[in-house]
Amino acid sequence: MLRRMAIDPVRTIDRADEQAPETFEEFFRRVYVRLGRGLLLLTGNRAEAEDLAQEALARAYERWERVRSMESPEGYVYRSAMNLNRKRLRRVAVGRRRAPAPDANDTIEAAETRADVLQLLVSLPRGQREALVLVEWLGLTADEAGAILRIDGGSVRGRIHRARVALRSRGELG
Amino acid sequence: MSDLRKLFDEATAGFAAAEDDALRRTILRGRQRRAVKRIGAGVTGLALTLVVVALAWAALPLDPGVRPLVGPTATPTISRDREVAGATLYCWTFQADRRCIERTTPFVDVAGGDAAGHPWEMRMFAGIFTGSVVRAPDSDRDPPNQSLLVVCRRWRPFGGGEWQCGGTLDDGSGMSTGLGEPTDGPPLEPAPPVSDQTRPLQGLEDTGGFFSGGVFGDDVMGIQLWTPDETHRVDVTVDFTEEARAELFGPFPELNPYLKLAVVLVPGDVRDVVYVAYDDDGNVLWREHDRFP
Repeated sequence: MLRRMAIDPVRTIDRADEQAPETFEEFFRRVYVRLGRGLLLLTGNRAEAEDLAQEALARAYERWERVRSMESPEGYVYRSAMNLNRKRLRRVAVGRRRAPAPDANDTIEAAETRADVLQLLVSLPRGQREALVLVEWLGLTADEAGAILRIDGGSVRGRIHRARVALRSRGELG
Repeated sequence: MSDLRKLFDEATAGFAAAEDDALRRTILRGRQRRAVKRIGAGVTGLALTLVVVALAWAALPLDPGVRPLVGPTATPTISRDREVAGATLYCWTFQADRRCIERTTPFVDVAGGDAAGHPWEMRMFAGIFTGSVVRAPDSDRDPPNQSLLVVCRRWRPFGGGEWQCGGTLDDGSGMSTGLGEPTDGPPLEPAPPVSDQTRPLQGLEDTGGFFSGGVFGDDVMGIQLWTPDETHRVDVTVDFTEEARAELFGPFPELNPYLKLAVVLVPGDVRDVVYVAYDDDGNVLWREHDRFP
Protein backbone atom coordinates (compact mmCIF):
# COMPACT_ATOMS: atom_id res chain seq x y z
CA MET A 1 0.00 0.00 0.00
CA LEU A 2 2.87 2.31 0.68
CA ARG A 3 4.32 4.13 -2.23
CA ARG A 4 8.02 4.48 -1.89
CA MET A 5 10.16 6.98 -3.65
CA ALA A 6 13.00 5.45 -5.55
CA ILE A 7 15.67 7.81 -4.30
CA ASP A 8 15.51 9.74 -1.13
CA PRO A 9 18.79 10.30 0.65
CA VAL A 10 17.00 11.18 3.85
CA ARG A 11 14.85 8.09 3.96
CA THR A 12 15.46 5.84 6.89
CA ILE A 13 15.68 2.20 6.07
CA ASP A 14 16.41 -0.95 7.89
CA ARG A 15 20.05 -1.37 7.18
CA ALA A 16 21.52 -4.71 6.41
CA ASP A 17 24.88 -3.13 6.65
CA GLU A 18 27.33 -5.21 8.59
CA GLN A 19 30.11 -2.63 8.57
CA ALA A 20 31.17 -1.12 11.84
CA PRO A 21 29.00 1.91 12.48
CA GLU A 22 30.69 5.14 11.60
CA THR A 23 31.33 7.46 14.47
CA PHE A 24 30.20 11.02 14.26
CA GLU A 25 33.80 12.16 14.32
CA GLU A 26 34.63 10.02 11.33
CA PHE A 27 31.58 11.24 9.54
CA PHE A 28 32.46 14.84 10.33
CA ARG A 29 35.98 14.50 8.99
CA ARG A 30 34.64 12.91 5.85
CA VAL A 31 31.99 15.51 5.17
CA TYR A 32 32.87 18.81 6.78
CA VAL A 33 35.36 20.38 4.43
CA ARG A 34 33.54 19.30 1.31
CA LEU A 35 30.25 20.57 2.68
CA GLY A 36 31.81 23.78 3.92
CA ARG A 37 33.34 24.50 0.57
CA GLY A 38 30.00 23.83 -1.08
CA LEU A 39 28.35 26.27 1.29
CA LEU A 40 31.06 28.79 0.54
CA LEU A 41 30.00 28.52 -3.07
CA LEU A 42 26.40 29.06 -2.03
CA THR A 43 26.95 31.96 0.31
CA GLY A 44 30.10 33.58 -0.97
CA ASN A 45 31.09 34.11 2.63
CA ARG A 46 33.53 31.90 4.42
CA ALA A 47 32.36 32.62 7.94
CA GLU A 48 28.75 31.96 7.02
CA ALA A 49 29.75 28.79 5.22
CA GLU A 50 31.57 27.52 8.30
CA ASP A 51 28.64 28.44 10.50
CA LEU A 52 26.11 26.70 8.28
CA ALA A 53 28.22 23.58 7.89
CA GLN A 54 28.72 23.30 11.64
CA GLU A 55 25.05 23.90 12.36
CA ALA A 56 23.96 21.27 9.85
CA LEU A 57 26.43 18.79 11.30
CA ALA A 58 25.42 19.69 14.84
CA ARG A 59 21.88 18.70 13.97
CA ALA A 60 23.18 15.40 12.70
CA TYR A 61 25.16 14.96 15.92
CA GLU A 62 22.06 15.69 17.95
CA ARG A 63 20.35 12.61 16.52
CA TRP A 64 23.37 10.71 15.32
CA GLU A 65 22.13 7.24 16.17
CA ARG A 66 19.22 7.74 13.87
CA VAL A 67 21.05 9.68 11.19
CA ARG A 68 23.81 7.18 10.76
CA SER A 69 21.32 4.42 10.09
CA MET A 70 19.93 6.35 7.17
CA GLU A 71 20.60 5.31 3.64
CA SER A 72 22.59 8.49 3.17
CA PRO A 73 23.59 10.47 6.23
CA GLU A 74 25.26 12.93 3.89
CA GLY A 75 21.92 13.50 2.20
CA TYR A 76 20.40 14.36 5.55
CA VAL A 77 23.16 16.86 6.27
CA TYR A 78 23.02 18.33 2.80
CA ARG A 79 19.31 18.86 3.11
CA SER A 80 19.74 20.44 6.51
CA ALA A 81 22.40 22.73 5.11
CA MET A 82 20.23 23.77 2.20
CA ASN A 83 17.31 24.49 4.51
CA LEU A 84 19.50 26.44 6.90
CA ASN A 85 20.86 28.52 4.06
CA ARG A 86 17.35 29.30 2.89
CA LYS A 87 16.39 30.36 6.38
CA ARG A 88 19.46 32.54 6.49
CA LEU A 89 18.50 34.18 3.25
CA ARG A 90 15.03 34.87 4.55
CA ARG A 91 16.47 36.53 7.61
CA VAL A 92 18.84 38.88 5.96
CA ALA A 93 17.78 41.91 4.06
CA VAL A 94 17.41 41.52 0.36
CA GLY A 95 20.03 44.14 -0.21
CA ARG A 96 22.50 42.30 1.95
CA ARG A 97 21.99 38.79 0.82
CA ARG A 98 23.46 39.17 -2.58
CA ALA A 99 26.88 40.34 -3.37
CA PRO A 100 26.88 42.94 -6.11
CA ALA A 101 26.47 41.35 -9.48
CA PRO A 102 29.63 41.32 -11.52
CA ASP A 103 30.05 43.62 -14.36
CA ALA A 104 28.40 42.29 -17.47
CA ASN A 105 31.69 42.48 -19.26
CA ASP A 106 33.45 40.47 -16.64
CA THR A 107 34.70 37.05 -17.63
CA ILE A 108 35.97 34.03 -15.76
CA GLU A 109 39.36 34.57 -17.23
CA ALA A 110 39.33 38.11 -15.97
CA ALA A 111 38.25 36.98 -12.53
CA GLU A 112 41.69 36.40 -11.22
CA THR A 113 40.83 36.19 -7.58
CA ARG A 114 38.69 33.70 -5.74
CA ALA A 115 36.47 36.47 -4.55
CA ASP A 116 35.64 37.31 -8.10
CA VAL A 117 34.64 33.76 -8.85
CA LEU A 118 32.53 33.51 -5.74
CA GLN A 119 30.93 36.81 -6.53
CA LEU A 120 30.07 35.52 -9.94
CA LEU A 121 28.51 32.40 -8.48
CA VAL A 122 26.60 34.26 -5.83
CA SER A 123 25.06 36.37 -8.55
CA LEU A 124 23.23 33.31 -9.84
CA PRO A 125 19.71 32.59 -8.62
CA ARG A 126 19.69 30.55 -5.44
CA GLY A 127 18.08 27.55 -7.04
CA GLN A 128 20.74 27.36 -9.69
CA ARG A 129 23.50 27.67 -7.15
CA GLU A 130 22.01 24.91 -5.04
CA ALA A 131 21.78 22.61 -8.03
CA LEU A 132 25.32 23.41 -9.07
CA VAL A 133 26.75 22.82 -5.63
CA LEU A 134 24.90 19.57 -5.03
CA VAL A 135 25.65 18.06 -8.40
CA GLU A 136 28.86 19.63 -9.60
CA TRP A 137 30.60 20.03 -6.28
CA LEU A 138 29.14 17.45 -3.92
CA GLY A 139 28.81 14.89 -6.67
CA LEU A 140 25.17 13.90 -6.29
CA THR A 141 23.13 12.78 -9.22
CA ALA A 142 20.41 15.08 -10.46
CA ASP A 143 17.79 12.79 -8.95
CA GLU A 144 19.53 12.73 -5.59
CA ALA A 145 19.85 16.50 -5.64
CA GLY A 146 16.21 16.73 -6.60
CA ALA A 147 15.24 14.65 -3.59
CA ILE A 148 17.07 17.08 -1.35
CA LEU A 149 15.66 20.17 -3.05
CA ARG A 150 12.23 18.55 -3.35
CA ILE A 151 12.10 19.00 -7.07
CA ASP A 152 12.46 16.40 -9.76
CA GLY A 153 15.74 15.49 -11.37
CA GLY A 154 14.77 17.08 -14.65
CA SER A 155 14.34 20.42 -12.94
CA VAL A 156 17.77 20.04 -11.40
CA ARG A 157 19.29 19.39 -14.79
CA GLY A 158 17.43 22.42 -16.13
CA ARG A 159 18.80 24.63 -13.39
CA ILE A 160 22.32 23.43 -14.01
CA HIS A 161 21.96 24.04 -17.69
CA ARG A 162 20.74 27.57 -17.10
CA ALA A 163 23.53 28.19 -14.63
CA ARG A 164 26.09 27.00 -17.11
CA VAL A 165 24.63 29.22 -19.79
CA ALA A 166 24.77 32.16 -17.41
CA LEU A 167 28.33 31.43 -16.37
CA ARG A 168 29.35 30.88 -19.94
CA SER A 169 27.84 34.17 -21.01
CA ARG A 170 29.73 35.94 -18.28
CA GLY A 171 32.88 34.00 -18.18
CA GLU A 172 33.28 31.93 -21.25
CA LEU A 173 32.97 28.80 -19.23
CA GLY A 174 33.87 25.80 -21.30
CA MET B 1 37.61 17.03 -13.23
CA SER B 2 34.90 18.99 -14.94
CA ASP B 3 35.41 22.60 -15.80
CA LEU B 4 32.94 23.70 -13.17
CA ARG B 5 34.35 21.47 -10.47
CA LYS B 6 37.82 22.77 -11.18
CA LEU B 7 36.52 26.29 -10.95
CA PHE B 8 34.80 25.53 -7.66
CA ASP B 9 37.87 23.81 -6.34
CA GLU B 10 39.98 26.88 -6.98
CA ALA B 11 37.36 29.24 -5.64
CA THR B 12 37.03 27.45 -2.31
CA ALA B 13 40.61 26.41 -1.78
CA GLY B 14 40.90 28.85 1.08
CA PHE B 15 38.16 27.27 3.15
CA ALA B 16 39.26 26.67 6.69
CA ALA B 17 40.99 23.39 7.26
CA ALA B 18 40.92 23.75 11.04
CA GLU B 19 38.83 20.66 11.37
CA ASP B 20 39.56 19.93 15.00
CA ASP B 21 38.27 23.28 16.16
CA ALA B 22 35.28 22.95 13.91
CA LEU B 23 34.56 19.48 15.23
CA ARG B 24 34.69 20.68 18.82
CA ARG B 25 32.39 23.57 18.08
CA THR B 26 29.98 21.33 16.21
CA ILE B 27 29.76 18.77 18.99
CA LEU B 28 29.25 21.53 21.52
CA ARG B 29 26.40 22.88 19.43
CA GLY B 30 24.89 19.44 19.10
CA ARG B 31 25.01 18.89 22.84
CA GLN B 32 23.39 22.24 23.46
CA ARG B 33 20.65 21.37 21.02
CA ARG B 34 20.09 18.06 22.78
CA ALA B 35 19.84 19.79 26.13
CA VAL B 36 17.35 22.31 24.81
CA LYS B 37 15.35 19.52 23.25
CA ARG B 38 15.21 17.63 26.51
CA ILE B 39 13.80 20.66 28.23
CA GLY B 40 11.28 21.11 25.45
CA ALA B 41 10.34 17.45 25.61
CA GLY B 42 9.75 17.78 29.31
CA VAL B 43 7.39 20.68 28.76
CA THR B 44 5.66 18.80 25.95
CA GLY B 45 5.39 15.71 28.09
CA LEU B 46 3.77 17.69 30.86
CA ALA B 47 1.30 19.18 28.42
CA LEU B 48 0.53 15.77 26.98
CA THR B 49 0.00 14.35 30.42
CA LEU B 50 -2.49 17.08 31.17
CA VAL B 51 -4.31 16.39 27.93
CA VAL B 52 -4.42 12.67 28.64
CA VAL B 53 -5.74 13.28 32.11
CA ALA B 54 -8.37 15.60 30.71
CA LEU B 55 -9.36 13.03 28.12
CA ALA B 56 -9.66 10.27 30.63
CA TRP B 57 -11.60 12.48 32.98
CA ALA B 58 -14.03 13.39 30.24
CA ALA B 59 -14.55 9.75 29.41
CA LEU B 60 -15.11 8.42 32.89
CA PRO B 61 -18.77 7.56 32.35
CA LEU B 62 -17.73 4.91 29.91
CA ASP B 63 -17.59 1.42 31.23
CA PRO B 64 -15.62 -0.66 28.83
CA GLY B 65 -16.19 -3.94 30.50
CA VAL B 66 -14.17 -6.94 29.58
CA ARG B 67 -14.48 -8.63 26.27
CA PRO B 68 -12.18 -10.90 24.34
CA LEU B 69 -10.88 -9.39 21.19
CA VAL B 70 -8.58 -11.53 19.18
CA GLY B 71 -7.32 -15.01 19.12
CA PRO B 72 -8.15 -18.15 20.97
CA THR B 73 -5.06 -18.55 23.11
CA ALA B 74 -3.60 -15.21 24.03
CA THR B 75 -6.78 -13.28 24.04
CA PRO B 76 -6.30 -9.68 24.95
CA THR B 77 -8.90 -8.30 27.22
CA ILE B 78 -9.49 -4.78 28.29
CA SER B 79 -10.71 -3.67 31.62
CA ARG B 80 -10.88 -0.57 33.66
CA ASP B 81 -8.11 -1.16 36.03
CA ARG B 82 -7.47 1.65 38.39
CA GLU B 83 -7.47 5.36 38.69
CA VAL B 84 -4.44 7.52 39.01
CA ALA B 85 -4.60 11.22 39.60
CA GLY B 86 -8.13 11.37 38.37
CA ALA B 87 -7.36 9.46 35.20
CA THR B 88 -8.73 6.03 34.63
CA LEU B 89 -6.20 3.56 33.44
CA TYR B 90 -7.43 0.79 31.26
CA CYS B 91 -5.53 -2.40 31.28
CA TRP B 92 -4.98 -4.22 28.05
CA THR B 93 -4.14 -7.71 29.18
CA PHE B 94 -2.98 -10.72 27.32
CA GLN B 95 -3.99 -13.96 28.88
CA ALA B 96 -0.68 -15.57 28.05
CA ASP B 97 1.21 -13.79 30.76
CA ARG B 98 -1.36 -11.53 32.36
CA ARG B 99 0.81 -8.54 31.88
CA CYS B 100 -0.92 -5.33 31.33
CA ILE B 101 -0.48 -2.46 28.96
CA GLU B 102 -2.07 0.51 30.55
CA ARG B 103 -3.87 3.13 28.58
CA THR B 104 -5.38 6.23 30.02
CA THR B 105 -8.09 6.47 27.45
CA PRO B 106 -11.33 4.58 27.12
CA PHE B 107 -12.52 2.68 24.16
CA VAL B 108 -15.69 2.18 22.27
CA ASP B 109 -17.06 -0.87 20.56
CA VAL B 110 -18.14 -0.76 17.02
CA ALA B 111 -19.84 -3.61 15.30
CA GLY B 112 -20.82 -3.98 11.72
CA GLY B 113 -20.86 -6.24 8.78
CA ASP B 114 -19.72 -6.09 5.24
CA ALA B 115 -22.00 -6.26 2.28
CA ALA B 116 -21.76 -10.04 2.20
CA GLY B 117 -22.93 -10.27 5.75
CA HIS B 118 -19.62 -10.97 7.39
CA PRO B 119 -19.68 -9.56 10.85
CA TRP B 120 -16.92 -7.33 12.08
CA GLU B 121 -16.21 -6.06 15.47
CA MET B 122 -14.02 -3.21 16.47
CA ARG B 123 -12.82 -1.79 19.64
CA MET B 124 -11.55 1.73 19.34
CA PHE B 125 -9.60 3.66 21.81
CA ALA B 126 -10.44 7.32 21.76
CA GLY B 127 -7.57 9.53 22.60
CA ILE B 128 -3.94 10.00 22.15
CA PHE B 129 -1.89 7.33 20.53
CA THR B 130 -3.97 4.44 21.51
CA GLY B 131 -4.41 1.64 19.15
CA SER B 132 -7.24 -0.56 18.30
CA VAL B 133 -7.73 -4.17 17.57
CA VAL B 134 -10.12 -5.03 14.84
CA ARG B 135 -11.04 -8.43 13.73
CA ALA B 136 -13.91 -10.38 12.38
CA PRO B 137 -15.14 -12.59 15.21
CA ASP B 138 -15.52 -15.55 12.93
CA SER B 139 -12.33 -16.02 10.97
CA ASP B 140 -13.82 -18.82 8.91
CA ARG B 141 -16.07 -16.33 7.32
CA ASP B 142 -13.43 -13.80 6.51
CA PRO B 143 -13.50 -12.84 2.92
CA PRO B 144 -10.30 -14.35 1.57
CA ASN B 145 -7.61 -12.20 0.08
CA GLN B 146 -9.38 -9.04 0.87
CA SER B 147 -8.56 -6.27 3.18
CA LEU B 148 -11.04 -4.27 5.09
CA LEU B 149 -10.36 -0.63 5.48
CA VAL B 150 -12.10 0.85 8.44
CA VAL B 151 -12.10 4.50 9.14
CA CYS B 152 -13.39 6.11 12.26
CA ARG B 153 -14.00 9.65 13.10
CA ARG B 154 -14.61 11.44 16.29
CA TRP B 155 -17.73 13.49 16.38
CA ARG B 156 -16.71 15.97 18.96
CA PRO B 157 -13.15 16.75 19.89
CA PHE B 158 -12.43 15.24 23.24
CA GLY B 159 -16.10 14.51 23.66
CA GLY B 160 -15.38 11.08 24.93
CA GLY B 161 -16.18 7.93 23.11
CA GLU B 162 -18.16 9.23 20.25
CA TRP B 163 -16.86 7.57 17.19
CA GLN B 164 -18.29 6.51 13.96
CA CYS B 165 -16.62 3.91 11.85
CA GLY B 166 -17.09 2.42 8.50
CA GLY B 167 -15.10 0.82 5.77
CA THR B 168 -14.88 -0.93 2.51
CA LEU B 169 -13.41 -4.10 1.19
CA ASP B 170 -11.01 -4.23 -1.69
CA ASP B 171 -13.82 -4.91 -4.08
CA GLY B 172 -15.53 -1.74 -3.00
CA SER B 173 -18.33 -3.35 -1.07
CA GLY B 174 -19.25 -1.37 1.97
CA MET B 175 -19.41 -2.10 5.62
CA SER B 176 -22.07 -0.84 7.91
CA THR B 177 -21.26 1.75 10.48
CA GLY B 178 -21.45 1.70 14.16
CA LEU B 179 -21.37 4.36 16.77
CA GLY B 180 -19.31 4.51 19.83
CA GLU B 181 -21.01 4.83 23.12
CA PRO B 182 -22.26 8.35 23.53
CA THR B 183 -21.68 10.03 26.79
CA ASP B 184 -23.01 13.41 27.70
CA GLY B 185 -23.58 16.35 25.45
CA PRO B 186 -25.96 16.89 22.61
CA PRO B 187 -27.27 13.97 20.61
CA LEU B 188 -25.01 12.64 17.94
CA GLU B 189 -25.41 13.96 14.52
CA PRO B 190 -27.08 11.25 12.48
CA ALA B 191 -24.61 9.71 10.13
CA PRO B 192 -25.49 8.72 6.61
CA PRO B 193 -24.58 5.16 5.68
CA VAL B 194 -20.93 4.76 4.95
CA SER B 195 -21.73 3.07 1.69
CA ASP B 196 -23.13 6.37 0.52
CA GLN B 197 -20.10 8.27 1.62
CA THR B 198 -17.22 6.13 0.64
CA ARG B 199 -15.48 6.24 -2.62
CA PRO B 200 -12.78 4.06 -4.10
CA LEU B 201 -9.84 4.11 -1.80
CA GLN B 202 -6.36 4.81 -2.94
CA GLY B 203 -4.90 3.41 0.22
CA LEU B 204 -4.30 5.04 3.51
CA GLU B 205 -3.03 8.12 1.81
CA ASP B 206 -6.59 8.76 0.88
CA THR B 207 -8.03 8.61 4.34
CA GLY B 208 -8.52 12.35 4.42
CA GLY B 209 -11.10 12.01 1.72
CA PHE B 210 -12.75 8.88 2.88
CA PHE B 211 -15.80 10.54 4.24
CA SER B 212 -17.52 13.13 2.21
CA GLY B 213 -16.82 16.47 3.67
CA GLY B 214 -13.28 15.63 4.64
CA VAL B 215 -13.89 15.52 8.33
CA PHE B 216 -10.48 14.19 9.17
CA GLY B 217 -8.31 17.17 8.62
CA ASP B 218 -4.64 16.63 9.10
CA ASP B 219 -4.60 14.72 12.33
CA VAL B 220 -5.10 11.13 11.38
CA MET B 221 -3.37 7.98 12.33
CA GLY B 222 -3.46 4.77 10.41
CA ILE B 223 -3.16 1.33 11.86
CA GLN B 224 -2.72 -1.69 9.73
CA LEU B 225 -3.46 -5.14 11.01
CA TRP B 226 -2.20 -8.08 9.03
CA THR B 227 -2.63 -11.76 9.34
CA PRO B 228 0.65 -13.66 9.10
CA ASP B 229 0.04 -14.66 5.52
CA GLU B 230 -0.79 -11.07 4.74
CA THR B 231 -3.94 -12.02 2.97
CA HIS B 232 -6.05 -10.13 5.45
CA ARG B 233 -5.42 -6.71 6.73
CA VAL B 234 -7.49 -4.18 8.55
CA ASP B 235 -6.62 -0.54 8.38
CA VAL B 236 -7.95 1.82 10.93
CA THR B 237 -7.55 5.51 10.97
CA VAL B 238 -8.09 7.49 14.10
CA ASP B 239 -7.79 11.09 14.98
CA PHE B 240 -4.46 11.97 16.30
CA THR B 241 -3.57 15.11 18.14
CA GLU B 242 -0.83 17.27 16.80
CA GLU B 243 1.00 17.20 20.08
CA ALA B 244 1.12 13.46 20.22
CA ARG B 245 2.16 13.21 16.62
CA ALA B 246 4.96 15.67 17.14
CA GLU B 247 6.09 13.69 20.14
CA LEU B 248 6.17 10.49 18.19
CA PHE B 249 7.71 11.98 15.15
CA GLY B 250 10.24 14.16 16.85
CA PRO B 251 13.16 13.37 14.62
CA PHE B 252 11.48 14.85 11.58
CA PRO B 253 9.01 17.44 12.83
CA GLU B 254 9.59 19.63 9.82
CA LEU B 255 8.22 16.97 7.51
CA ASN B 256 4.84 17.05 9.17
CA PRO B 257 4.01 13.51 8.24
CA TYR B 258 1.09 11.38 8.94
CA LEU B 259 1.86 8.52 11.21
CA LYS B 260 0.95 5.06 10.17
CA LEU B 261 0.94 2.26 12.65
CA ALA B 262 1.20 -1.22 11.40
CA VAL B 263 0.15 -3.94 13.79
CA VAL B 264 1.04 -7.45 12.83
CA LEU B 265 -1.60 -9.93 13.76
CA VAL B 266 -0.52 -13.38 14.67
CA PRO B 267 -3.40 -15.78 15.27
CA GLY B 268 -4.02 -15.88 18.92
CA ASP B 269 -1.08 -13.67 19.66
CA VAL B 270 -1.42 -10.01 18.88
CA ARG B 271 1.91 -8.76 19.94
CA ASP B 272 4.08 -7.44 17.20
CA VAL B 273 3.67 -3.84 16.31
CA VAL B 274 5.52 -1.99 13.64
CA TYR B 275 5.23 1.73 13.69
CA VAL B 276 5.74 3.23 10.30
CA ALA B 277 5.72 6.92 9.68
CA TYR B 278 5.44 8.29 6.24
CA ASP B 279 5.23 11.67 4.64
CA ASP B 280 2.51 13.09 2.49
CA ASP B 281 3.89 11.30 -0.53
CA GLY B 282 3.78 7.96 1.18
CA ASN B 283 7.53 7.68 1.59
CA VAL B 284 8.55 5.67 4.61
CA LEU B 285 10.60 7.90 6.84
CA TRP B 286 10.83 6.03 10.06
CA ARG B 287 10.14 2.54 11.19
CA GLU B 288 10.23 1.02 14.59
CA HIS B 289 9.35 -2.40 15.80
CA ASP B 290 7.86 -3.12 19.15
CA ARG B 291 6.56 -6.20 20.83
CA PHE B 292 3.90 -6.30 23.40
CA PRO B 293 4.71 -8.18 26.54
